[in-house]
Amino acid sequence: MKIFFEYLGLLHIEDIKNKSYIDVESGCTAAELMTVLKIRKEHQKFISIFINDVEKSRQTVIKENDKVKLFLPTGGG
Amino acid sequence: MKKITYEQLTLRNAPQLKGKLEKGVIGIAGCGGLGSNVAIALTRIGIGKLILVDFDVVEPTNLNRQQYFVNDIGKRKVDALEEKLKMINPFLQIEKHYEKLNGKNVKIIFKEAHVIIEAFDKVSVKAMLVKVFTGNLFKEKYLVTASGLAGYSSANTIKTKKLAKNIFVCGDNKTDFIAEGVMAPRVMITAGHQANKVVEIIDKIF
Repeated sequence: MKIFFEYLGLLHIEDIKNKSYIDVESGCTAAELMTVLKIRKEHQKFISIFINDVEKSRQTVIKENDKVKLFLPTGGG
Repeated sequence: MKKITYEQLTLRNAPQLKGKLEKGVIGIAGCGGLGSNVAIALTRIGIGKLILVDFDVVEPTNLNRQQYFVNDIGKRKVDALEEKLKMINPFLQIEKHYEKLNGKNVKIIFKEAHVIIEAFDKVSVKAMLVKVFTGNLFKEKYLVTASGLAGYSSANTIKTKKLAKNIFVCGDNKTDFIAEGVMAPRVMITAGHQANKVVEIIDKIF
């Protein structure tokens, strides 16, 4: 199924164009998406997941055409 | 000290904000580079109340970007900042918390706040505050966080973006302080974005 995918902050994901439609397996959770995208474990724990502009847990099942945003803040303040 | 009125202080503000800013209660999570600059901007325009939270004291290395002076070194940041804010706007209400924020006390400390400014430097604490906003308790509040304000690359890369209906992020979302350092110009620009978003939110909710 297709989802709209965006990432912000420190994340750099190889071979995935930011703000684009990507294919994921049906029934995929947010946690599984991060694993499929090869996001490092030490980053995963600090990532906030937004699905259709609402923050969701890692166990949330992603649905077709969902707008999924991953946010890993950069340091400094 | 000379006496002024609240009307004098706010006379040059946007007229459509009249009667709104003084109702606003803003939480400042971290009184360093971002937090001290946001607090001063909001104080100048007549915000009603600030809840200042920081567990640290002023150090010499803070002075390149934070709103403190040499004679503040060694003082608690919340105390040093309060002194300055009161000199700008004697009508401002201030609540100070000299402690570390965590997933539990954040909900108590910021209970009264309409908007919370995330102004930490560590990624782990920044992420914690964003996650708190998943809870029902904070669904009516707004969070303005920051990500990417390091170095001295173009100031025009610093933007305000919507992360969720009640969460905004200011910064370039790229630069990191460990590799590039943090300095007043880009920190102040990002803080300006955060303060401006607060004004937009206050205008909308009152």
